[in-house]
Amino acid sequence: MAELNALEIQGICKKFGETVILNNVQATIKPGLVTAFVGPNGAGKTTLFHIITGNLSADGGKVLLNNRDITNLPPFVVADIGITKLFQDLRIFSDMTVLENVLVALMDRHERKPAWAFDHLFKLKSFLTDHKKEALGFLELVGIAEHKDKMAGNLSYGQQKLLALARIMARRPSYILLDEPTAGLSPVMVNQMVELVSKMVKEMGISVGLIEHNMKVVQKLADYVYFLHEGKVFCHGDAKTVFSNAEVKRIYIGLSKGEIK
Amino acid sequence: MTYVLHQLIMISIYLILVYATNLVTGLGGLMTMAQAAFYGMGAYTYALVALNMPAGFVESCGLSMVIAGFVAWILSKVVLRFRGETFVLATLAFQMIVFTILDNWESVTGGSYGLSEIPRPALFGYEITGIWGYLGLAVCMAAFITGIVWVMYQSPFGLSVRAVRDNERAAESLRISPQKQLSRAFVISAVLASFAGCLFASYVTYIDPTSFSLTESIFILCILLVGGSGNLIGPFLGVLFMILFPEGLRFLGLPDESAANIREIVYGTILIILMYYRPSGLKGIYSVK
Repeated sequence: MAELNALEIQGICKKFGETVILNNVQATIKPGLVTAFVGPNGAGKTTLFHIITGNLSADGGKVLLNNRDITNLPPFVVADIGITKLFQDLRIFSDMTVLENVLVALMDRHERKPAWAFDHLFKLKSFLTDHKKEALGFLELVGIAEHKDKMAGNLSYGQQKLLALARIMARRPSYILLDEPTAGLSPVMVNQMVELVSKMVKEMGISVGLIEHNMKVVQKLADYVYFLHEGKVFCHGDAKTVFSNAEVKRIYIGLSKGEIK
Repeated sequence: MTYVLHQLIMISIYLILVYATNLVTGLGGLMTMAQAAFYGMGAYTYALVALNMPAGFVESCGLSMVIAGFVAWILSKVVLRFRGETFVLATLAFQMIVFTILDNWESVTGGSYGLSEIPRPALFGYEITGIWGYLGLAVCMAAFITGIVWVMYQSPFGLSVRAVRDNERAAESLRISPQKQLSRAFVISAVLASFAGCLFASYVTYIDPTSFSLTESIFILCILLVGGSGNLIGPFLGVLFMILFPEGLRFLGLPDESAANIREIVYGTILIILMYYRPSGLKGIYSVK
Protein backbone atom coordinates (compact mmCIF):
# COMPACT_ATOMS: atom_id res chain seq x y z
CA MET A 1 0.00 0.00 0.00
CA ALA A 2 1.51 3.25 -1.09
CA GLU A 3 1.85 5.86 1.57
CA LEU A 4 0.37 9.29 1.01
CA ASN A 5 2.88 12.09 0.37
CA ALA A 6 5.75 9.67 0.31
CA LEU A 7 8.35 9.17 -2.39
CA GLU A 8 8.07 5.50 -3.20
CA ILE A 9 10.66 3.46 -5.03
CA GLN A 10 9.08 0.25 -6.25
CA GLY A 11 11.14 -2.55 -7.72
CA ILE A 12 13.64 -0.34 -9.54
CA CYS A 13 16.03 -2.24 -11.81
CA LYS A 14 18.96 -0.85 -13.77
CA LYS A 15 21.64 -2.46 -15.89
CA PHE A 16 24.69 -0.91 -17.52
CA GLY A 17 25.39 -3.33 -20.33
CA GLU A 18 25.52 -6.74 -18.69
CA THR A 19 26.28 -5.36 -15.23
CA VAL A 20 23.32 -5.25 -12.90
CA ILE A 21 23.47 -2.02 -10.90
CA LEU A 22 20.09 -2.08 -9.21
CA ASN A 23 17.99 -5.15 -8.75
CA ASN A 24 14.41 -4.76 -7.60
CA VAL A 25 15.04 -1.98 -5.09
CA GLN A 26 12.13 -1.13 -2.80
CA ALA A 27 12.33 1.91 -0.55
CA THR A 28 10.26 4.79 0.76
CA ILE A 29 11.46 8.30 1.45
CA LYS A 30 8.99 9.43 4.06
CA PRO A 31 7.74 12.99 4.30
CA GLY A 32 9.31 15.19 6.93
CA LEU A 33 12.04 12.70 7.73
CA VAL A 34 15.61 11.91 6.71
CA THR A 35 15.95 8.60 4.90
CA ALA A 36 19.54 7.47 4.47
CA PHE A 37 20.95 5.13 1.86
CA VAL A 38 24.23 3.58 2.89
CA GLY A 39 26.37 0.86 1.46
CA PRO A 40 29.77 0.20 -0.08
CA ASN A 41 30.94 2.09 -3.15
CA GLY A 42 29.30 0.69 -6.24
CA ALA A 43 26.21 -0.45 -4.36
CA GLY A 44 24.02 1.63 -6.69
CA LYS A 45 23.08 4.48 -4.36
CA THR A 46 23.94 7.33 -6.70
CA THR A 47 22.36 5.48 -9.62
CA LEU A 48 19.18 5.16 -7.60
CA PHE A 49 19.15 8.93 -6.98
CA HIS A 50 19.80 9.60 -10.66
CA ILE A 51 16.82 7.42 -11.55
CA ILE A 52 14.54 9.22 -9.10
CA THR A 53 15.47 12.62 -10.57
CA GLY A 54 15.23 11.39 -14.14
CA ASN A 55 18.92 11.80 -14.97
CA LEU A 56 18.97 8.08 -15.74
CA SER A 57 16.14 5.94 -16.99
CA ALA A 58 15.03 2.86 -15.08
CA ASP A 59 14.96 -0.51 -16.83
CA GLY A 60 12.12 -1.66 -14.63
CA GLY A 61 10.08 -0.60 -11.63
CA LYS A 62 8.43 2.64 -10.68
CA VAL A 63 9.04 5.83 -8.79
CA LEU A 64 5.86 7.21 -7.25
CA LEU A 65 5.31 10.57 -5.61
CA ASN A 66 2.00 10.84 -3.78
CA ASN A 67 0.89 7.85 -5.86
CA ARG A 68 1.73 9.66 -9.09
CA ASP A 69 4.03 7.73 -11.40
CA ILE A 70 7.06 9.93 -12.08
CA THR A 71 9.35 7.24 -13.50
CA ASN A 72 11.57 8.33 -16.38
CA LEU A 73 10.22 11.88 -16.57
CA PRO A 74 12.78 14.44 -17.80
CA PRO A 75 14.87 15.91 -14.94
CA PHE A 76 13.41 19.39 -15.21
CA VAL A 77 9.89 18.00 -14.90
CA VAL A 78 10.87 15.99 -11.81
CA ALA A 79 12.42 19.16 -10.39
CA ASP A 80 9.21 21.00 -11.21
CA ILE A 81 7.25 18.46 -9.19
CA GLY A 82 9.44 19.31 -6.21
CA ILE A 83 12.27 16.79 -6.09
CA THR A 84 15.77 18.13 -6.42
CA LYS A 85 19.25 16.82 -5.85
CA LEU A 86 22.60 17.92 -4.48
CA PHE A 87 24.97 16.40 -6.98
CA GLN A 88 28.00 14.55 -5.70
CA ASP A 89 30.13 16.75 -7.97
CA LEU A 90 28.12 19.88 -6.99
CA ARG A 91 27.66 21.30 -10.49
CA ILE A 92 27.57 24.93 -9.47
CA PHE A 93 27.48 27.53 -12.24
CA SER A 94 31.14 28.46 -12.01
CA ASP A 95 31.05 31.31 -14.56
CA MET A 96 28.27 33.08 -12.67
CA THR A 97 28.51 34.99 -9.41
CA VAL A 98 27.51 33.34 -6.16
CA LEU A 99 24.41 35.52 -5.98
CA GLU A 100 23.41 34.71 -9.56
CA ASN A 101 23.69 31.01 -8.80
CA VAL A 102 20.91 31.34 -6.25
CA LEU A 103 19.01 33.91 -8.32
CA VAL A 104 18.58 31.40 -11.16
CA ALA A 105 16.96 28.97 -8.79
CA LEU A 106 14.43 31.55 -7.62
CA MET A 107 12.91 32.21 -11.02
CA ASP A 108 9.78 30.51 -12.18
CA ARG A 109 9.10 28.82 -15.45
CA HIS A 110 6.86 31.51 -16.89
CA GLU A 111 9.37 34.20 -15.91
CA ARG A 112 12.02 32.47 -17.99
CA LYS A 113 10.15 33.06 -21.23
CA PRO A 114 11.94 35.69 -23.31
CA ALA A 115 8.75 37.75 -23.65
CA TRP A 116 8.16 37.90 -19.91
CA ALA A 117 10.86 40.52 -19.36
CA PHE A 118 9.27 42.77 -21.99
CA ASP A 119 5.80 42.33 -20.55
CA HIS A 120 7.18 43.41 -17.19
CA LEU A 121 9.72 45.88 -18.49
CA PHE A 122 9.06 48.56 -15.91
CA LYS A 123 8.90 46.09 -13.04
CA LEU A 124 12.03 44.21 -14.08
CA LYS A 125 14.36 46.28 -11.91
CA SER A 126 12.33 45.90 -8.74
CA PHE A 127 11.76 42.24 -9.58
CA LEU A 128 15.50 41.67 -9.74
CA THR A 129 16.14 43.70 -6.58
CA ASP A 130 13.54 41.71 -4.65
CA HIS A 131 14.86 38.40 -5.87
CA LYS A 132 18.45 39.37 -5.12
CA LYS A 133 17.39 40.17 -1.57
CA GLU A 134 15.72 36.79 -1.30
CA ALA A 135 18.76 35.04 -2.77
CA LEU A 136 20.97 36.82 -0.26
CA GLY A 137 18.75 35.43 2.50
CA PHE A 138 19.58 31.89 1.40
CA LEU A 139 23.27 32.72 1.21
CA GLU A 140 23.08 34.08 4.76
CA LEU A 141 21.37 30.89 5.84
CA VAL A 142 24.30 28.77 4.70
CA GLY A 143 26.82 31.42 5.80
CA ILE A 144 28.49 32.50 2.56
CA ALA A 145 26.72 35.83 2.04
CA GLU A 146 29.98 37.79 2.15
CA HIS A 147 31.12 36.07 -1.06
CA LYS A 148 28.02 37.00 -3.03
CA ASP A 149 29.83 38.89 -5.80
CA LYS A 150 32.63 36.38 -6.32
CA MET A 151 32.60 34.05 -9.29
CA ALA A 152 31.26 30.80 -7.94
CA GLY A 153 34.16 28.88 -9.49
CA ASN A 154 36.58 30.77 -7.22
CA LEU A 155 35.01 29.52 -3.98
CA SER A 156 36.62 26.76 -1.96
CA TYR A 157 35.17 23.28 -2.27
CA GLY A 158 33.36 23.54 1.05
CA GLN A 159 31.88 26.91 0.13
CA GLN A 160 30.78 25.53 -3.24
CA LYS A 161 28.99 22.77 -1.42
CA LEU A 162 27.18 25.29 0.76
CA LEU A 163 26.33 27.31 -2.33
CA ALA A 164 24.90 24.24 -4.04
CA LEU A 165 22.80 23.64 -0.96
CA ALA A 166 21.58 27.26 -0.86
CA ARG A 167 20.67 27.00 -4.53
CA ILE A 168 18.63 23.88 -3.90
CA MET A 169 16.87 25.36 -0.90
CA ALA A 170 15.97 28.44 -2.90
CA ARG A 171 14.01 26.13 -5.20
CA ARG A 172 11.83 25.29 -2.15
CA PRO A 173 11.45 21.63 -3.06
CA SER A 174 9.44 19.18 -1.00
CA TYR A 175 12.12 16.51 -1.44
CA ILE A 176 15.88 16.98 -1.47
CA LEU A 177 18.23 14.17 -2.36
CA LEU A 178 21.69 14.75 -0.91
CA ASP A 179 24.48 12.76 -2.48
CA GLU A 180 27.35 12.68 0.04
CA PRO A 181 26.84 16.17 1.45
CA THR A 182 29.74 15.96 3.89
CA ALA A 183 32.35 14.31 1.66
CA GLY A 184 35.52 16.38 1.49
CA LEU A 185 34.48 18.77 4.24
CA SER A 186 36.45 19.71 7.36
CA PRO A 187 35.02 18.51 10.71
CA VAL A 188 33.74 22.02 11.46
CA MET A 189 31.97 22.17 8.13
CA VAL A 190 30.56 18.68 8.59
CA ASN A 191 28.86 19.90 11.75
CA GLN A 192 27.61 22.97 9.94
CA MET A 193 26.20 20.76 7.18
CA VAL A 194 24.47 18.50 9.69
CA GLU A 195 22.89 21.53 11.33
CA LEU A 196 21.74 22.86 7.99
CA VAL A 197 20.16 19.58 7.00
CA SER A 198 18.28 19.22 10.27
CA LYS A 199 17.16 22.84 9.91
CA MET A 200 15.86 22.03 6.43
CA VAL A 201 13.87 19.11 7.75
CA LYS A 202 12.58 20.63 10.96
CA GLU A 203 12.04 24.27 10.01
CA MET A 204 11.39 24.15 6.30
CA GLY A 205 9.56 20.83 6.30
CA ILE A 206 11.68 19.37 3.53
CA SER A 207 11.97 15.59 3.27
CA VAL A 208 15.50 14.37 2.71
CA GLY A 209 17.04 11.37 0.98
CA LEU A 210 20.64 11.04 2.06
CA ILE A 211 23.62 9.15 0.70
CA GLU A 212 26.43 9.32 3.23
CA HIS A 213 29.54 7.43 4.21
CA ASN A 214 30.14 9.27 7.47
CA MET A 215 28.44 7.01 9.98
CA LYS A 216 28.30 9.68 12.66
CA VAL A 217 26.38 11.93 10.30
CA VAL A 218 23.99 9.14 9.38
CA GLN A 219 23.38 8.32 13.01
CA LYS A 220 22.77 11.97 13.85
CA LEU A 221 20.43 12.68 10.97
CA ALA A 222 18.75 9.58 9.65
CA ASP A 223 15.33 8.54 10.83
CA TYR A 224 15.42 5.48 8.64
CA VAL A 225 18.28 3.66 6.92
CA TYR A 226 18.41 1.44 3.85
CA PHE A 227 21.55 -0.59 3.47
CA LEU A 228 22.27 -1.30 -0.17
CA HIS A 229 24.65 -4.01 -1.27
CA GLU A 230 25.28 -5.18 -4.83
CA GLY A 231 22.21 -3.42 -6.14
CA LYS A 232 19.77 -4.76 -3.57
CA VAL A 233 18.35 -3.51 -0.32
CA PHE A 234 20.25 -5.72 2.07
CA CYS A 235 18.49 -4.59 5.20
CA HIS A 236 16.61 -1.59 6.48
CA GLY A 237 15.40 -0.10 9.73
CA ASP A 238 16.49 2.65 12.07
CA ALA A 239 20.17 3.48 12.17
CA LYS A 240 20.85 1.45 15.30
CA THR A 241 19.26 -1.72 13.92
CA VAL A 242 21.05 -1.51 10.60
CA PHE A 243 24.49 -0.74 11.97
CA SER A 244 24.29 -3.45 14.60
CA ASN A 245 23.61 -6.05 11.93
CA ALA A 246 26.64 -8.36 11.85
CA GLU A 247 26.54 -8.81 8.06
CA VAL A 248 26.38 -5.05 7.51
CA LYS A 249 29.42 -4.62 9.70
CA ARG A 250 31.27 -7.25 7.73
CA ILE A 251 30.36 -5.87 4.31
CA TYR A 252 30.56 -2.18 5.04
CA ILE A 253 33.07 -1.60 7.76
CA GLY A 254 35.21 -4.52 6.66
CA LEU A 255 35.30 -6.31 9.96
CA SER A 256 36.11 -9.99 9.77
CA LYS A 257 33.83 -12.46 11.50
CA GLY A 258 36.16 -12.73 14.49
CA GLU A 259 36.10 -8.96 15.06
CA ILE A 260 32.33 -8.70 15.11
CA LYS A 261 30.99 -8.77 18.60
CA MET B 1 32.43 61.63 -45.77
CA THR B 2 30.24 59.09 -47.53
CA TYR B 3 32.90 56.53 -46.73
CA VAL B 4 32.68 57.24 -43.01
CA LEU B 5 28.88 57.15 -43.09
CA HIS B 6 29.02 53.84 -44.95
CA GLN B 7 31.28 52.38 -42.25
CA LEU B 8 28.91 53.59 -39.54
CA ILE B 9 25.98 51.91 -41.29
CA MET B 10 27.92 48.66 -41.63
CA ILE B 11 28.91 48.89 -37.95
CA SER B 12 25.23 49.23 -37.03
CA ILE B 13 24.26 46.21 -39.12
CA TYR B 14 27.08 44.11 -37.72
CA LEU B 15 26.22 45.17 -34.21
CA ILE B 16 22.77 43.62 -34.67
CA LEU B 17 24.30 40.47 -36.13
CA VAL B 18 26.84 40.06 -33.38
CA TYR B 19 24.41 40.76 -30.55
CA ALA B 20 22.17 38.12 -32.12
CA THR B 21 25.03 35.64 -32.23
CA ASN B 22 25.92 36.51 -28.66
CA LEU B 23 22.57 35.08 -27.52
CA VAL B 24 23.55 31.63 -28.76
CA THR B 25 27.33 31.73 -28.48
CA GLY B 26 27.87 34.08 -25.54
CA LEU B 27 24.94 33.21 -23.34
CA GLY B 28 24.23 29.69 -24.55
CA GLY B 29 27.85 28.66 -25.11
CA LEU B 30 27.18 27.11 -28.51
CA MET B 31 29.32 28.21 -31.45
CA THR B 32 26.88 28.64 -34.27
CA MET B 33 28.18 28.64 -37.81
CA ALA B 34 24.76 29.29 -39.32
CA GLN B 35 24.48 32.99 -38.55
CA ALA B 36 25.31 34.12 -42.08
CA ALA B 37 22.69 31.70 -43.39
CA PHE B 38 19.96 33.49 -41.42
CA TYR B 39 21.48 36.84 -42.35
CA GLY B 40 21.29 35.76 -46.01
CA MET B 41 17.79 34.35 -45.67
CA GLY B 42 16.69 37.68 -44.27
CA ALA B 43 18.33 39.63 -47.06
CA TYR B 44 17.00 37.42 -49.85
CA THR B 45 13.48 37.15 -48.45
CA TYR B 46 13.38 40.91 -48.04
CA ALA B 47 14.64 41.43 -51.59
CA LEU B 48 12.25 38.92 -53.13
CA VAL B 49 9.24 40.26 -51.27
CA ALA B 50 10.10 43.88 -51.95
CA LEU B 51 10.78 43.19 -55.62
CA ASN B 52 7.78 41.02 -56.37
CA MET B 53 5.02 42.11 -54.05
CA PRO B 54 3.47 45.45 -53.26
CA ALA B 55 4.85 45.20 -49.75
CA GLY B 56 6.49 47.99 -47.79
CA PHE B 57 9.64 47.88 -45.67
CA VAL B 58 7.89 46.83 -42.49
CA GLU B 59 5.91 44.01 -44.13
CA SER B 60 8.94 42.67 -46.00
CA CYS B 61 11.07 42.71 -42.86
CA GLY B 62 8.26 41.13 -40.87
CA LEU B 63 7.86 38.32 -43.35
CA SER B 64 11.56 37.53 -43.56
CA MET B 65 11.85 37.52 -39.78
CA VAL B 66 8.90 35.14 -39.47
CA ILE B 67 10.37 32.81 -42.08
CA ALA B 68 13.83 32.87 -40.49
CA GLY B 69 12.30 32.25 -37.07
CA PHE B 70 10.29 29.30 -38.36
CA VAL B 71 13.29 27.76 -40.14
CA ALA B 72 15.43 28.29 -37.03
CA TRP B 73 12.79 26.64 -34.88
CA ILE B 74 12.73 23.55 -37.12
CA LEU B 75 16.51 23.54 -37.34
CA SER B 76 16.88 23.85 -33.56
CA LYS B 77 15.02 20.56 -33.15
CA VAL B 78 17.88 18.89 -34.99
CA VAL B 79 21.02 20.85 -34.14
CA LEU B 80 20.27 21.25 -30.45
CA ARG B 81 20.57 17.52 -30.02
CA PHE B 82 24.27 18.21 -30.30
CA ARG B 83 26.76 20.13 -28.21
CA GLY B 84 30.31 21.27 -28.72
CA GLU B 85 32.04 20.33 -31.96
CA THR B 86 29.07 18.39 -33.31
CA PHE B 87 26.86 21.44 -32.91
CA VAL B 88 29.42 23.47 -34.86
CA LEU B 89 29.37 20.86 -37.63
CA ALA B 90 25.60 20.62 -37.72
CA THR B 91 25.15 24.39 -38.05
CA LEU B 92 27.97 24.48 -40.57
CA ALA B 93 26.09 21.96 -42.68
CA PHE B 94 23.00 24.18 -42.60
CA GLN B 95 25.12 27.17 -43.59
CA MET B 96 26.45 25.24 -46.61
CA ILE B 97 22.96 24.17 -47.64
CA VAL B 98 21.60 27.70 -47.53
CA PHE B 99 24.61 29.06 -49.41
CA THR B 100 24.28 26.38 -52.09
CA ILE B 101 20.61 27.17 -52.54
CA LEU B 102 21.29 30.91 -52.80
CA ASP B 103 24.09 30.27 -55.24
CA ASN B 104 22.30 27.79 -57.49
CA TRP B 105 18.57 28.42 -57.51
CA GLU B 106 18.93 30.89 -60.35
CA SER B 107 15.25 31.33 -61.21
CA VAL B 108 14.53 32.66 -57.73
CA THR B 109 17.75 33.97 -56.20
CA GLY B 110 19.48 34.94 -59.41
CA GLY B 111 22.28 32.49 -58.61
CA SER B 112 25.72 34.00 -58.41
CA TYR B 113 24.47 37.16 -60.15
CA GLY B 114 22.33 37.88 -57.12
CA LEU B 115 19.44 40.29 -56.99
CA SER B 116 19.63 43.93 -57.86
CA GLU B 117 17.50 47.06 -57.76
CA ILE B 118 16.15 46.17 -54.37
CA PRO B 119 13.89 49.02 -53.28
CA ARG B 120 15.09 51.36 -50.58
CA PRO B 121 12.99 51.35 -47.43
CA ALA B 122 10.00 53.64 -47.14
CA LEU B 123 8.70 54.44 -43.69
CA PHE B 124 5.48 56.34 -43.07
CA GLY B 125 5.30 57.22 -46.75
CA TYR B 126 8.78 58.70 -46.73
CA GLU B 127 11.35 56.89 -48.82
CA ILE B 128 14.80 56.75 -47.31
CA THR B 129 17.22 57.23 -50.17
CA GLY B 130 20.04 59.40 -48.90
CA ILE B 131 22.91 57.98 -46.94
CA TRP B 132 22.16 60.24 -43.96
CA GLY B 133 18.61 58.98 -43.82
CA TYR B 134 19.78 55.42 -44.00
CA LEU B 135 22.38 56.03 -41.30
CA GLY B 136 19.59 57.33 -39.09
CA LEU B 137 17.52 54.22 -39.72
CA ALA B 138 20.43 51.81 -39.16
CA VAL B 139 21.60 53.51 -35.98
CA CYS B 140 18.08 53.68 -34.57
CA MET B 141 17.50 50.01 -35.32
CA ALA B 142 20.86 49.00 -33.84
CA ALA B 143 20.11 51.04 -30.72
CA PHE B 144 16.64 49.53 -30.48
CA ILE B 145 17.97 45.99 -30.78
CA THR B 146 20.78 46.70 -28.34
CA GLY B 147 18.05 47.70 -25.92
CA ILE B 148 16.12 44.49 -26.53
CA VAL B 149 19.22 42.36 -26.12
CA TRP B 150 20.22 44.28 -22.99
CA VAL B 151 16.87 43.50 -21.38
CA MET B 152 17.26 39.87 -22.40
CA TYR B 153 20.69 39.56 -20.81
CA GLN B 154 19.33 40.82 -17.48
CA SER B 155 16.10 38.93 -17.62
CA PRO B 156 15.37 35.56 -16.05
CA PHE B 157 15.56 34.23 -19.61
CA GLY B 158 19.16 35.39 -20.08
CA LEU B 159 20.14 34.15 -16.65
CA SER B 160 18.69 30.71 -17.29
CA VAL B 161 20.44 30.40 -20.66
CA ARG B 162 23.73 31.24 -18.94
CA ALA B 163 22.96 28.60 -16.34
CA VAL B 164 22.44 26.05 -19.11
CA ARG B 165 25.75 27.07 -20.63
CA ASP B 166 27.54 26.55 -17.32
CA ASN B 167 26.00 23.24 -16.38
CA GLU B 168 23.06 21.67 -18.11
CA ARG B 169 22.35 19.03 -15.53
CA ALA B 170 22.38 21.49 -12.67
CA ALA B 171 20.11 23.79 -14.64
CA GLU B 172 17.70 20.91 -15.15
CA SER B 173 17.65 20.22 -11.44
CA LEU B 174 16.49 23.84 -11.03
CA ARG B 175 13.54 23.21 -13.34
CA ILE B 176 15.11 24.75 -16.44
CA SER B 177 14.62 22.87 -19.68
CA PRO B 178 17.94 23.27 -21.54
CA GLN B 179 16.42 22.34 -24.90
CA LYS B 180 13.65 24.88 -24.59
CA GLN B 181 15.83 27.77 -23.42
CA LEU B 182 18.53 27.13 -26.01
CA SER B 183 15.97 26.77 -28.76
CA ARG B 184 14.40 30.10 -27.76
CA ALA B 185 17.82 31.75 -27.85
CA PHE B 186 18.54 30.16 -31.22
CA VAL B 187 15.26 31.32 -32.76
CA ILE B 188 15.56 34.89 -31.43
CA SER B 189 19.12 35.00 -32.67
CA ALA B 190 18.04 33.89 -36.16
CA VAL B 191 15.20 36.41 -36.25
CA LEU B 192 17.54 39.27 -35.33
CA ALA B 193 20.14 38.09 -37.86
CA SER B 194 17.51 38.01 -40.59
CA PHE B 195 16.53 41.56 -39.67
CA ALA B 196 20.15 42.59 -40.08
CA GLY B 197 19.92 40.94 -43.51
CA CYS B 198 16.87 43.05 -44.39
CA LEU B 199 18.71 46.22 -43.40
CA PHE B 200 21.72 45.17 -45.44
CA ALA B 201 19.72 44.28 -48.57
CA SER B 202 17.70 47.47 -48.46
CA TYR B 203 20.86 49.51 -47.92
CA VAL B 204 23.15 48.10 -50.61
CA THR B 205 20.19 47.40 -53.01
CA TYR B 206 22.24 44.62 -54.60
CA ILE B 207 22.94 41.27 -52.97
CA ASP B 208 24.76 38.14 -54.07
CA PRO B 209 25.52 34.90 -52.21
CA THR B 210 29.14 35.79 -51.39
CA SER B 211 27.96 38.14 -48.64
CA PHE B 212 26.36 35.19 -46.84
CA SER B 213 29.00 32.49 -47.17
CA LEU B 214 30.67 30.42 -44.47
CA THR B 215 33.44 33.03 -44.32
CA GLU B 216 30.84 35.53 -43.18
CA SER B 217 29.65 33.20 -40.41
CA ILE B 218 33.23 32.78 -39.26
CA PHE B 219 33.77 36.53 -39.45
CA ILE B 220 30.76 37.12 -37.20
CA LEU B 221 32.07 34.58 -34.69
CA CYS B 222 35.50 36.21 -34.84
CA ILE B 223 34.00 39.58 -33.98
CA LEU B 224 32.38 38.00 -30.96
CA LEU B 225 35.52 36.19 -29.86
CA VAL B 226 37.73 39.24 -30.34
CA GLY B 227 35.34 41.55 -28.53
CA GLY B 228 34.34 39.11 -25.86
CA SER B 229 31.06 37.34 -25.39
CA GLY B 230 28.39 37.26 -22.74
CA ASN B 231 27.92 41.01 -22.27
CA LEU B 232 27.07 44.14 -24.25
CA ILE B 233 30.41 45.91 -24.36
CA GLY B 234 32.47 43.03 -25.73
CA PRO B 235 30.56 42.61 -29.00
CA PHE B 236 30.53 46.39 -29.45
CA LEU B 237 34.31 46.62 -29.12
CA GLY B 238 34.62 43.59 -31.39
CA VAL B 239 32.58 45.21 -34.14
CA LEU B 240 34.54 48.44 -33.91
CA PHE B 241 37.85 46.61 -34.02
CA MET B 242 37.03 44.09 -36.75
CA ILE B 243 35.34 46.57 -39.09
CA LEU B 244 37.57 49.56 -38.57
CA PHE B 245 40.87 47.75 -38.29
CA PRO B 246 40.94 46.35 -41.86
CA GLU B 247 39.71 49.71 -43.09
CA GLY B 248 42.64 51.25 -41.25
CA LEU B 249 45.00 48.87 -43.04
CA ARG B 250 43.65 50.29 -46.27
CA PHE B 251 45.51 53.50 -45.52
CA LEU B 252 48.82 51.67 -45.27
CA GLY B 253 49.15 52.09 -49.01
CA LEU B 254 49.52 48.41 -49.83
CA PRO B 255 49.68 47.56 -53.53
CA ASP B 256 46.19 47.01 -54.87
CA GLU B 257 46.68 43.51 -56.22
CA SER B 258 47.89 42.04 -52.90
CA ALA B 259 46.17 44.38 -50.45
CA ALA B 260 43.24 42.09 -49.70
CA ASN B 261 45.48 39.08 -49.07
CA ILE B 262 47.92 40.97 -46.88
CA ARG B 263 45.04 42.34 -44.89
CA GLU B 264 43.72 38.83 -44.27
CA ILE B 265 47.15 37.70 -43.08
CA VAL B 266 47.62 40.64 -40.72
CA TYR B 267 44.10 40.09 -39.53
CA GLY B 268 44.63 36.39 -38.83
CA THR B 269 47.89 36.99 -37.02
CA ILE B 270 46.30 39.58 -34.77
CA LEU B 271 43.45 37.20 -34.02
CA ILE B 272 45.86 34.48 -32.93
CA ILE B 273 47.84 36.87 -30.76
CA LEU B 274 44.66 38.17 -29.20
CA MET B 275 43.28 34.73 -28.44
CA TYR B 276 46.60 33.76 -26.87
CA TYR B 277 46.80 36.73 -24.54
CA ARG B 278 43.11 37.40 -24.00
CA PRO B 279 41.15 34.20 -24.44
CA SER B 280 38.01 35.91 -23.22
CA GLY B 281 38.31 38.68 -25.81
CA LEU B 282 38.83 42.40 -25.32
CA LYS B 283 36.05 42.60 -22.78
CA GLY B 284 34.20 39.38 -22.24
CA ILE B 285 32.98 37.20 -19.45
CA TYR B 286 33.67 33.84 -21.01
CA SER B 287 36.82 32.47 -22.50
CA VAL B 288 36.86 30.33 -25.61
CA LYS B 289 36.00 26.76 -24.70
